[in-house]
Amino acid sequence: MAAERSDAEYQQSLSERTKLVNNKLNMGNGADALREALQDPPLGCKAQATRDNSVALVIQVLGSVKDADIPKALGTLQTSDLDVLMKYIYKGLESGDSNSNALLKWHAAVTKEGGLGCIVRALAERRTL
Amino acid sequence: MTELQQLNYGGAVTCHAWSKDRNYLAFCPDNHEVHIYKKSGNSYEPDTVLVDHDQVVTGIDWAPNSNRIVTCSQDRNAYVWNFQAGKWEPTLVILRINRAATSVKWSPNETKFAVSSGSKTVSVCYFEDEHNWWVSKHLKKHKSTVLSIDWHPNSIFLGTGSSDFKARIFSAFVKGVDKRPDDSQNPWGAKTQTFGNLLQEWSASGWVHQVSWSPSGQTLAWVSHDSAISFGNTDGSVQSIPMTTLPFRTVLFLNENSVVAAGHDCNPMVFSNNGGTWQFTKNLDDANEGAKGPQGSATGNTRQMWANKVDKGTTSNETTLNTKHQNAISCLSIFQGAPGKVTQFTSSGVDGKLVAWKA
Repeated sequence: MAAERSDAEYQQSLSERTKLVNNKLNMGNGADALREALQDPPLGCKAQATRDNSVALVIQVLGSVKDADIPKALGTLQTSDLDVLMKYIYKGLESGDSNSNALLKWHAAVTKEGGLGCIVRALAERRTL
Repeated sequence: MTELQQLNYGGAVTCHAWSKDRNYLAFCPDNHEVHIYKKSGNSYEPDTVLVDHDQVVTGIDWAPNSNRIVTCSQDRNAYVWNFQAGKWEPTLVILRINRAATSVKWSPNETKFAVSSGSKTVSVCYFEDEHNWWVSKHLKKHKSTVLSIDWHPNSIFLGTGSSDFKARIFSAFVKGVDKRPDDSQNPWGAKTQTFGNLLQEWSASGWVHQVSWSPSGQTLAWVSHDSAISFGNTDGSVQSIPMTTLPFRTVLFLNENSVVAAGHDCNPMVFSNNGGTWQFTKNLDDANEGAKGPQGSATGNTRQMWANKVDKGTTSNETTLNTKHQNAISCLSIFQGAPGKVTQFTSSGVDGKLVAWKA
């Protein structure tokens, strides 16, 4: 198991990630923005705020990708990225906000790519977002 | 595949084991009994029932050469059964566990057997001639229930899978019963000569349901509840394959380069080793769309269709799966071929069926 990372390290990783993602979004590149946003998920990080901000970042990207572009965006992701995305989707659905419409569309698309195994791994993960 | 028969109507089969000549089958129909069926023509007919356990029998293993059966149960006991004068005579084994036993396996040389249990230990039992009874020694270091065990071909190393998310390899070397392991098969050297030494530990992201050694003893395969199948080599390297299917419950090596895994998808899947990398090869159950269960009458079907439309919002009338097994597969057993050259194997599961498959 990897050594415990400090909250500061997670926070730093998140700020860098946020910059990269906003860059890609500004250029209109949703697929790349998504891939960047899924890097280095703060699973099990002790700081609640860092995890919440990470989730918010991913949801921002999910909301900005048009429905028709969803399959293309998923096509560039690896199995491990799909697993991470599924975890973010479930975390986003937990709060029951108005973005659940987009999240459910993404959930259906990710299940098509990653299968039930992807969902099982999202549920079995002990280190939560 | 050949569906052999329905062993339990309306219930699961917890585990099953074959006698050496495959004329006898022992299984537990999800209760405290062990049923032994005898081959009669193309099917198996009830022969005897062994009724010494008090709770569900969770593991059965039939030693091919010494013809002894060992059973373990949630009643925290294990029995070794010897066939004498036409009857199976039980010998109670004091495992010294305070939780249910989960599985049992004879060592390949049949001088020992190991029982995994919910008390976070594995009881390795060997026969002591002086006192004429089976003695148990405990392998500890597990943080939760040990779900399964498998013996290395040298009868000394033991692989374990636990619900603490880890697969481990221990030394189960018993002085006086075992000889020193052959150095060519032993990357851990002298560490292996002390009973209970932990030789290797791998992490998974879910409960490790089942472990299985390759015929050469170089690779340990395990399946875990995060829908993954993993292969760990004794040199420490490991490869994990995350699947898009539901989790596997059981895994079995067919030969050095081929493994079959089955579980909640009710379909045995074969994985092959191509030049050092394992990958999914095929499903053994073709899940034919046309092979459905018996169709009811026309009016009955129409009524069901409208009832479904009202109750469930769907017009389909499907109550059966397309696979041979109608529920999760929980036990795989070699049927034809020596271990390491398996040509056929059998599966049993929660639907109470026994199915034979060509490897």
